[in-house]
Amino acid sequence: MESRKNILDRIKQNQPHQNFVQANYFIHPILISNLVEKFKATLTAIGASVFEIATLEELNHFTINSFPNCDDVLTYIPGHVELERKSNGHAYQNIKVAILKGDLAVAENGAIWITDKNMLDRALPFICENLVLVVDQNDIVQTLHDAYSTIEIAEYKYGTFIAGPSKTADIEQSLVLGAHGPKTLTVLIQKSDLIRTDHD
Amino acid sequence: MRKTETPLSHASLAESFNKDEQRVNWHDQTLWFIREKRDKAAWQIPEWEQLREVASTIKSNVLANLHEYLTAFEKAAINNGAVVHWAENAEEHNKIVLSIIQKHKASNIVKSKSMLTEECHLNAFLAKNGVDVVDTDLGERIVQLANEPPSHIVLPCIHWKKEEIGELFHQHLGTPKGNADPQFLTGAARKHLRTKFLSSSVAITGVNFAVSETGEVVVCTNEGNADLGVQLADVHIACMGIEKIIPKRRDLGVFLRLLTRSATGQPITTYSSHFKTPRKGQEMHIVLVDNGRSQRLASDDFRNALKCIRCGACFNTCPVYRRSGGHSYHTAVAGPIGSILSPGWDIKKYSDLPSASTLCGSCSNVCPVKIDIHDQLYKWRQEITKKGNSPKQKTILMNIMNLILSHPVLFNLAGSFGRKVMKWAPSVVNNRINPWYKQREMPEPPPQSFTEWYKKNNNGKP
Amino acid sequence: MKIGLFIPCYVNQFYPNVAIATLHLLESLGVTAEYPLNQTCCGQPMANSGYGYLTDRCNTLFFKNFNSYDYIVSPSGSCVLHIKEHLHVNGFEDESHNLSKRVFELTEFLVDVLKADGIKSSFPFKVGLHQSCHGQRGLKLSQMSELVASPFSKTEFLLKEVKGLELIKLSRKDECCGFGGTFCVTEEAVSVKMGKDRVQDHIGHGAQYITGNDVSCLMHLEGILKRNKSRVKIIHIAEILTSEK
Repeated sequence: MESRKNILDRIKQNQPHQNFVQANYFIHPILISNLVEKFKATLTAIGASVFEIATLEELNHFTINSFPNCDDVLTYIPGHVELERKSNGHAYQNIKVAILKGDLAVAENGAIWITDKNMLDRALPFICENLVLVVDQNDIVQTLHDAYSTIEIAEYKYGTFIAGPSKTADIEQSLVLGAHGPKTLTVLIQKSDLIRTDHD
Repeated sequence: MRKTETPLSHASLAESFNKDEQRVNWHDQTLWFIREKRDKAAWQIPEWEQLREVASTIKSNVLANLHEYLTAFEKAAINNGAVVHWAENAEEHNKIVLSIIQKHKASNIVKSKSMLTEECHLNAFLAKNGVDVVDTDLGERIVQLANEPPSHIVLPCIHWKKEEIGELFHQHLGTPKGNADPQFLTGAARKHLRTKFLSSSVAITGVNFAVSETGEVVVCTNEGNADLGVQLADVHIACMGIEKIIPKRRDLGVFLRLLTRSATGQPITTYSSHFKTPRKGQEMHIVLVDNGRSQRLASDDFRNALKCIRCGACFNTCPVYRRSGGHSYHTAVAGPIGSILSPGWDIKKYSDLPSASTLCGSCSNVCPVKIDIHDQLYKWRQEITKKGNSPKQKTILMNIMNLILSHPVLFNLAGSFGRKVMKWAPSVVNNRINPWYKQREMPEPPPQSFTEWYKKNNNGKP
Repeated sequence: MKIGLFIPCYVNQFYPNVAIATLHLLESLGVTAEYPLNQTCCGQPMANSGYGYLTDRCNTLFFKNFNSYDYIVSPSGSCVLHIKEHLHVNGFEDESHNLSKRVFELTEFLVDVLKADGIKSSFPFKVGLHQSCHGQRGLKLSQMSELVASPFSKTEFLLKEVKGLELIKLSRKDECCGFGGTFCVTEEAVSVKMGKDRVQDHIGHGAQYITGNDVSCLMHLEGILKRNKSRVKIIHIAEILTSEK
């Protein structure tokens, strides 16, 4: 506790006394005319695959076609397909495909916001080998500023932006997909409201 | 290893680095390529310069109200269920981390990238106390296996060639000798580190941003190693410098737009994770570290260095860094930003770093929070001289130089004498002790100076 | 309009032709510039080495030499920047501050003050422009590649008027050459490597001459060119703008 007091006392004494008011800013990004197209283009550029779907049946078709002969597929979409959570994250280490629902998506950088309530287990989006995120077309926003105007009042315990598959370029700047997390990211843009849950 | 007692200097370490010119070219070009990617990403955002200005202003506000923001952050974090610790310095930080690890009787732990823990030399401290800490960022794992510090804050092993990494993995991970394929090597590391993730009950992460209003910490990675570590562990220890605070969640919109575009030219990192409340049954510890920051806060000249968000853009653009390599800076944070941070930690040990620059100013221009890096380099040079940390010979030389350069008669005499010597006895200057002459010719001495010409041609007027 | 010619110490001693060209160029534009004979050095070598406290005498001398002029013009961006940022004379704070604002690098004086266009000169060669950092980033003689902002270049504006001159493109249009004042000897290895890389960029793009606003950078590049027996030459922009080749 002594350190806390010492540090805070020093800061109080040393912090400049100019009146720096909290930045009240408004940033004017160029408006993106076609959000879905921009979102798709950005995602493709960062190594993700994107498809548009209309119904939940298509989601099933997609899974069967994209990951044939794959047993360890897990779909968790609150309000639609629900599962019991296992005891801990380790229990998901052999999951080949996890299909989860994103809360929000950003066209400028391809990032998809997902919070703990949609993850089933917080480890799942990272430990699975292939991640599929379903995003409602109406949940795509222009920039991060727009995303945070929603997120800033949201309740969550843990949330993350996911933009592409896990990657590294640490070896001679050669891009390798699948560092520690998923080797692929597939984004399914849901064109209607079918998958949208009542809880959202 | 080192026989003489001469202190490490950037100049001598950089000279060694430059012995292999092909390698310097490769290092330079690799980093320049990232600088170009950064430019491309920035040009995608027409309001880029406004974003930098806003980011800098937000940080000015933070530094002027740090006390209030930190106490608010602490309150919110505790309310979220985290435990908040305060460390005056590196030593106390390390002890706090160790005590948490020992409380949980953990001996294997994973750590994602944190420049703060590098600054505090946490790994060595934990190892000494019997804790096996594994760096999980691929680049950091590579330098850790090689028993080296990172040479770049974002690209820790940018100085390593893939063949050397292949050999390193062959020795440590048992990969086939001669395989240097990045895809293959990354796969091998993934397998190796997955076992570490699954068996570690404590995960340490750094912090990119800490939101005062909500008490959450934000960690950005491309590999997903921070999240994988934390979400499989029973205990999350987040270590951060006290300057990482930002006021509100919405400010993240500004900083996350700038961070990765500046760092690597990506629009955002793959994962930008907001850790607010620990999982049920999980412990979350936040260690707030001062280590000289509150002192720096008092300095009008050097305070702004605390705005740094560790993007590494100043490294990539720095023509000196690209041609001297991170280890030449002999400090945890190299490059231009390291050269203004390090003297604040130890002015004697790092008195050479502010001079490891041509003051070209490119660093200040790429900085996403507009730190006046090159001006601070200049100011540190003055500070170092004032505090008596300049070499004695340099001081003597500068006094002589000043004597000549500030007295017109002496100056003209010395100039005329110098030119004559260069003309009639060139070996006096064209020799090995003249560092200019080592790889460059001296300018050809003209028969007369401009002053002499002017006197003759303008009849002595004005 | 009373104009004082400020010639950096090393230009005075080693590159008098640059100073002569500067004087002639101004005269050709109908401007008479005077050269105060007692001038020496702006103080930058000491200040950039951390010995700013030694530069009082240089400052006072500069003040005495130049305070009576309306404009002070110099063929060096670096020295001008130093004066602009650091000229301070005890007891004459306001006057010296005011003086520092009247100091101009040659090309910015030509473009911004004289609004000179149509300077008659001819230089039928392939020329690479080395943008010295202090002139470019410090005095903003041209837009910087780091910024997301509209391009401009005062130096290129002048060079484009020169008959026969072909301005070559570079891979890195505004990278530092590594001169850096005392850096060029204290960090010899890196300094030379930076210079070699700059030179290579120019040579690789077919330059016959490398020009610029600062002789210090050019001197460093010349040292490297000559050591490597290159046929590429350096030339200050004032020399090009007065050339009648």
